Amino acid sequence: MVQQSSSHAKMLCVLKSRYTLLIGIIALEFLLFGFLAPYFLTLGNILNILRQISEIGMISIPLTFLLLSGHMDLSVGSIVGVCGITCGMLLRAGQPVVLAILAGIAAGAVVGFINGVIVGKLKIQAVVVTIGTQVMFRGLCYIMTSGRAVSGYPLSFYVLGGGDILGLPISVLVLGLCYVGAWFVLERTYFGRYILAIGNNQNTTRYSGIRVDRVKILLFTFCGIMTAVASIFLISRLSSAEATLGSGYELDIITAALIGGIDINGGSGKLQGTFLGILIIGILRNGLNLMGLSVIYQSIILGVLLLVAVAKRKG
Amino acid sequence: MKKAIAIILAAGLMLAMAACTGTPAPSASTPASGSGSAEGQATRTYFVNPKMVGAAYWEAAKEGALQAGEDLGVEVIWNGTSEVDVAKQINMVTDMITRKVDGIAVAVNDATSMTNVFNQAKEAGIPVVTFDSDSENAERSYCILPDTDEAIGEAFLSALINQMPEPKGKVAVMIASPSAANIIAWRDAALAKIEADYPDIEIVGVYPSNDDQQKAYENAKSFIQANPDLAGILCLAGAETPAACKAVQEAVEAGQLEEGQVKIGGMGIPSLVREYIKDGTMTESVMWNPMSMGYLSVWALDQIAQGNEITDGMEVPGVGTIKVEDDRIYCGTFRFTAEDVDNYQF
Amino acid sequence: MKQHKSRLSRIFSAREMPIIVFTLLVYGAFSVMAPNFNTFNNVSVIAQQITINGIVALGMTIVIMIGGMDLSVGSLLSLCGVFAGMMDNAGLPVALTVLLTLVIGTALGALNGLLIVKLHIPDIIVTLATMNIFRGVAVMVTRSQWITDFSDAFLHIGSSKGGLFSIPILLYVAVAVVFAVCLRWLPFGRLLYAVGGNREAAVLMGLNVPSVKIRVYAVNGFLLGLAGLLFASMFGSIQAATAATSLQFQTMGSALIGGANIFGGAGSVLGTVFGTILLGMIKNGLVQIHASEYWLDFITGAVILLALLVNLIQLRKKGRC
Repeated sequence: MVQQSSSHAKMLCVLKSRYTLLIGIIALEFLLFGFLAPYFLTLGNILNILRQISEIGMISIPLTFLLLSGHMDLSVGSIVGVCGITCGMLLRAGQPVVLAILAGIAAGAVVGFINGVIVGKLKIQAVVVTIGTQVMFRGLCYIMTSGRAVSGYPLSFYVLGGGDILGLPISVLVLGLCYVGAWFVLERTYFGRYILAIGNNQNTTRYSGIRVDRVKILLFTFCGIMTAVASIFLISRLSSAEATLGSGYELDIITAALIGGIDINGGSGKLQGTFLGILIIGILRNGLNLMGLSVIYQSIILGVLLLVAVAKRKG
Repeated sequence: MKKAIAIILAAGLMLAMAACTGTPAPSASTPASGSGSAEGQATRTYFVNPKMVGAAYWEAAKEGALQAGEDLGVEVIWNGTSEVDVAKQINMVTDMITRKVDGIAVAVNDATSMTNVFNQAKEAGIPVVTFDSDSENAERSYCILPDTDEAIGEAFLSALINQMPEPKGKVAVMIASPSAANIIAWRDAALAKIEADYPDIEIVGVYPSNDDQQKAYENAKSFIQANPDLAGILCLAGAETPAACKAVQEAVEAGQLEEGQVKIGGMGIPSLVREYIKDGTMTESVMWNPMSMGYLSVWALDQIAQGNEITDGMEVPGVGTIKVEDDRIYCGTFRFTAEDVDNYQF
Repeated sequence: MKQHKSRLSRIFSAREMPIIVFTLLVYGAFSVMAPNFNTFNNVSVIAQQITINGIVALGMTIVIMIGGMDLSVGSLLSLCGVFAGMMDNAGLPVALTVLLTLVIGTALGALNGLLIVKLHIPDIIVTLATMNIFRGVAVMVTRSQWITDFSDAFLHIGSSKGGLFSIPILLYVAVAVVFAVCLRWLPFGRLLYAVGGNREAAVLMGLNVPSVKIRVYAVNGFLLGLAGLLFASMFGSIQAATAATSLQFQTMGSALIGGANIFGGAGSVLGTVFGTILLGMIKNGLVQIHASEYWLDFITGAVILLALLVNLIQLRKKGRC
């Protein structure tokens, strides 16, 4: 009994120390860049950082869910491309903005569903499937655009990526809402518990009567939808969609989630960890950019930071 | 033990960051002072943003930009993304607008995506020029290019046609990325020219490498197999030409092609094609000097900042005479052969 | 007679059978569609083209077998390649260049393993980090320049002279044979299956799991050193920033198509070799049938998925799924 509670306390301590570490890193970044980078500590720049991380942040939510359930989606970057281009082409063709957005989201739902069915019903490992669909969906982007950027949207569409409410960019507000909603689902609903249960032990979960395959399909479809939402904000901010849109996003987001303490094998980790991870990377990139530091050093620093942040966990 | 390693790693990180802070002088001025000219007596600072860093082509442009900074007595910040990525490029330019530099030069990855950002720069009173790849409809003062897209495409093609005994037979086209606007424009110009003037040339295919050297080489080897009667290869990107030369050379050695059967023409980065142009695998190639483009970007920004007008035929030290049409500045292309390839140091 | 039949049926029920049959079918399809596909010359061209990816994929197979994953392969290959090129440019004898490159590759590979084992960080995170670090270092040491102008002796390593008996192909075959023999008959090979199959059981059996891990990553690094040498030598020039940037997904694709299990415990040299052949053949075949440049990725992705589905048939039959 005593032993159990002490191990409990220890675990709590580890958890606490992990988030203290993450917040400590952010504080350190603020301190360092505040001194070294001109204009880092201005309201405009802080909003700038938030706007820059908003799309990646939106995709990080379903990806965290997937990681927690012991899965992974390496095709999100390509899904960003497919959805953004779908939406962009409809806008260019003069379709109503709402219709174009819904079509983009529908496209995301469909490709996410495809991933989900292959993983859930055919029972092939998610990493393997999404390596294949990553290539295929990216190919779809090339076919749809013939290599030419899709642009020329109605003015009202640019509000999404550029407009703000009460001084806060719309994309940042949406990101905040999504995080709150996702946190609620993960922490307060049965569905959230199923996700963690599958991540801990898939077979036990299945034997306890949960339709594991359906949960998986739902998770991948959700991933497609959130990725589509992010892609719409992205093309509004970029005012164009091209075939390489979003490539490389998957590793950025997974890096953030891992820095944030999500267990790569599933079953443990918190959503707020991912958010802190995204912030750490976003602030780092922005600060180093402001300093004019070459990205070659940036990638090395990012690599070392990843090791530092994760090494502490079991140390 | 583990803690020790973590601490060492952390210390390494700090050291790395400290070591890297060499380039920019940390400005002590508080952001409260407002407008763009608030830097006061400090020298003007320009931000130059290539499509990506780490590639030799852009490294040469960087040298030119830094040289211009030295010559003109201004500070030049050179930075770009580690891979071709529109969103990250935009983030980087936005960050520099926040920093209130005195001018920005961008090699745009996607013409339309820069519109908003350039508007922001205009609002902040920061002049913008583009180089290498343009963003025509955006708020930019000048664009620095080697030449018009049509002229470049046709120059590449002529390098091939000149080498062919007569303009007929099968020709394969190699490109880098099938979504890079300037490469597509060159491809279209070259293909249009072939259709109009060289009806006997048959295009067997357009092969993209996605900037992957390995894939370029594999593509070349594959289409040589598919077309034993190939007559020419048109290369529209820098890394494609040496890949094509290598593949042709190997096919000749293996007896699959006759020597001199396949001519290779197009863009050639002198340092990469030197050996092939000397051993006769190809006899001429077309290029422009990325250093000149880098130099001109900084020079143009500085002229704008000083309120000077840029006119056709101006003499730019270190670059030569420039051609100006409307708001485009052309630094010019050149043709080189085995005789003068050694004159080019990039 | 009966025994003979059972042997035959054993061959047909081999794990690798579906992927082999699938590869042959794709080969047949391309042969019909492209007149110059099914020629001796083209076969040797494909063989030459797959050597680099093939060697890396074999390393990836043993990493995946012990339940790991290496995202840093492209970066490490690039680093080894530019080191080799720079040593050659500095005038070192080729033998020394080769030796040092292999040593560097092995050491950096072992570093991956050490970080994983000593810091208790999952493989994917360590290699994600070293992917950034190795690439950054490679770009830094080359100061973003192309490394080129190699000596003739260095270029000879990757030369395609000799068709099917050129040095790169011989090297690939040698590595594959050594791997096949080791995994099947040598104790170390059996160890890999044990470690990947059931970590706890392996520990209980008294196996030194960390040491196995480090050794596997060291072997993987050795192969990357070899592949880096071949890369620089075969193409005659190498640029650190762009060399082999998508290699990790391509080689993981080969290994997984070949039947490796991402959670460890399964993987086969024969399967990976055919996975590599399949992917290499698709690249070559699509060029030969003049597929539109915008359709290449889509078709490649679709064939990868199809190959995975084909694998499933065999697994289902064995009741493994």
